[in-house]
Amino acid sequence: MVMQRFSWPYGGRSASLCGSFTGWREYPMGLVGAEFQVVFDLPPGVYQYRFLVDGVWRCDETKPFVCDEYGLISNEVLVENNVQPVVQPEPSIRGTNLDEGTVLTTMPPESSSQNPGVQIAVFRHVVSGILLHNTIYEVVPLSSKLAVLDTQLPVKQAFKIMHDEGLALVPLWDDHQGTITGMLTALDFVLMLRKLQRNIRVTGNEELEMHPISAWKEAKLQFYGGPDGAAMQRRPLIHVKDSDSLADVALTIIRNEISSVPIFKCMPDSSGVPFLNLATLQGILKFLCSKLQEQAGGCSLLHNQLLSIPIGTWSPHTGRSSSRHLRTLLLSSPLNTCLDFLLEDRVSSIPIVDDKGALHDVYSLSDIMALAKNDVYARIELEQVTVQNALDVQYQVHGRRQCYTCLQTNTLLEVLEGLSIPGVRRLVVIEQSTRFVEGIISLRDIFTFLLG
Amino acid sequence: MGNASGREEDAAAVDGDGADVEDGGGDSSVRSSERAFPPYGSVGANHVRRACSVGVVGGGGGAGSPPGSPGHSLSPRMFVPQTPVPPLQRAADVTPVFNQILMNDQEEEYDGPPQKEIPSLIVWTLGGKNVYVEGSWDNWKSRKAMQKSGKDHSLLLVLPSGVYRYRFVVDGERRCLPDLPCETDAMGNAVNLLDVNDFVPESVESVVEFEPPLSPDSSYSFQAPEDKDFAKEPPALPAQLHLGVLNSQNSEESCARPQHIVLNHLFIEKGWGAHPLVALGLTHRFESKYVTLVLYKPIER
Repeated sequence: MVMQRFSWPYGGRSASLCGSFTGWREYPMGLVGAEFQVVFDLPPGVYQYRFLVDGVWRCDETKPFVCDEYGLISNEVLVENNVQPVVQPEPSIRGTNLDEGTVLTTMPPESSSQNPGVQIAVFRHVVSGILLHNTIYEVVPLSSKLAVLDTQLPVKQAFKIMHDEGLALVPLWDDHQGTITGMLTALDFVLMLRKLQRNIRVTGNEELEMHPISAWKEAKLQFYGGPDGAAMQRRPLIHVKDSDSLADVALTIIRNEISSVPIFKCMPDSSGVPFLNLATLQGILKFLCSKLQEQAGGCSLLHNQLLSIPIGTWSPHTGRSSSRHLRTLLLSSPLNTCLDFLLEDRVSSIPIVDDKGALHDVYSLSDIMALAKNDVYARIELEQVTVQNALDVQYQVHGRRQCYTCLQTNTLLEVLEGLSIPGVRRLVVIEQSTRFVEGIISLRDIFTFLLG
Repeated sequence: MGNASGREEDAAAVDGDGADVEDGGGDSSVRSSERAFPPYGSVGANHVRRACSVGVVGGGGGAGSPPGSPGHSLSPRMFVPQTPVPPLQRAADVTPVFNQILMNDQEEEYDGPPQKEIPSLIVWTLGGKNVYVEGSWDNWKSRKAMQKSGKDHSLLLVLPSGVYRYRFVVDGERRCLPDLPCETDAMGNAVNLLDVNDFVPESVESVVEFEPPLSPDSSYSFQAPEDKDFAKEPPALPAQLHLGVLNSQNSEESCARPQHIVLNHLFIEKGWGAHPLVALGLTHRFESKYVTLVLYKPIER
């Protein structure tokens, strides 16, 4: 329990306090010197409160405050376990001290370590403070290099560039509009291959050779849009401004189910280029981790094991519930099946296991770009290619890679640090001895949890 | 005006240095409406600025209400008259007597007529905890502590017109600002130069010395360039422009900070592999971030 002092130093004849910790019942405040005070013994957590001064509801505008769904403004306080917020008030004219205030105990003693719900609430409060008070501009690297493709570039060249430059997505520049108008992603490559796979040996390669990206984007709308155009309709480019908060940017990425979002400049500058960079959840997470290291309190949840935190997608045999079903695929599965699952489940990757069920690797949408090397896609049929074959092509191009994993006994801090490593999009949770896949934790899972 | 640090600040925004604030509960009034600009032609106008009086509007609010946002509190500063050693005079100001003093390199005080003293702001922008400044205005005898204002450290000095040498002492280490005028002394130490000047022309056009001389007619010819002129090799590209904007790796991590020389230059690589396309590279700065964009465009057939 933590002694928390509340004060109203702005005058009045009488003052009371009510808050979420009192069940919104009023408690009178004692006059200590020139200000009204009351002290509560509270467990760590985030609480809202208001003052009733001379019969009028008031808030202290110098303290943090929130607005609820009904438009009511309340002050908000974060009570932390390792901080002693009750400090002796400065000596007033009467030379009184804290003992003259009213001390109330309104809740049973309860250690924060025994209440993960409170820990999560406190941690989310700390995280939201960081994400709301920092802008995406601060996350943009001091110096960065970005490839941009002209929309008139032939699709085949575009995918070749993406492969050679190691890019899973690229912004598209429209000369007529003089700005970034869209993104070309690995998903486009998958959709195009599936559209062309029936006759790829006859016309596919020529079609890729001749068609500009802009024509492909139009064709995609017609081919995958459906009769009502609902499935894939033309929409304006999703983007954020350099002054947007990290919370807004993260929500934009999550809600639109995209992996990154272009950052546009609020004010045009002399370069004439409105585009600043691409924002990713990983960049935000890396920044968040650096800020959390500076935090003194409210971060005890970081040292909790994954076992106790409702985060990630889990296999049914673990007994843990999750919003979506965790799929795995055998190495011998057709690549087409793998792509089907990725598109149907709207996920970016799928764990690949061997005959014994042990984790072998993870196949992700971006891995499909390996087929662009030397026009491999023009010489294969997706139905006849196994996941093993596709991974072999990947290994030939980039070499055998490390598959990033963790255990349920790892702490949240270790998971966050693992996901901050450049190039790591997800961690596969495995059982240590058998390497059975127990779950998967993606960047999206992390931010869905952090943002509540 | 030349803006050495790339920021555009009002000459009056000096974080309280030289602020002239009235006491009392009411609104403070601006004592001087005159805006002072840096001397024309002074380099690094952002770092060495003339001071001017600044007024502060005080936030009211009754005792029974939470206070509003606190304004910037500007503390008045008392200017103590200083007795500096003679500064280096400009050629126009130098008298024969003073010439002799300078030539003999003497350091005795000059008993000339009292000169008008001019407030000059010195700003250190490169961080540090404890920043001091020392200079030739008192023959390097003392170090003056600089006031921290935001990320910068600043100090207002009141000096007679002239050119002074000075340097900063940042956390015990002697430093100078490379963006500002500087020179190397006999010992090989770099020092900054401070040009204290009370002369501010109202417009450049009114100053005769700024008028360019007319070119003599004989310097023009009517000969059009011939084939032999075009056959000459083009001038060599400066070595620093060979830094490959286009050749550096795309990286999820931060790239190396580009040299300023490559900013806003268009780099072109024609033919990418066997493909008929062109790669255009451009590095530009946005506030404090550098962005290199490589645009791949098809070559029009």
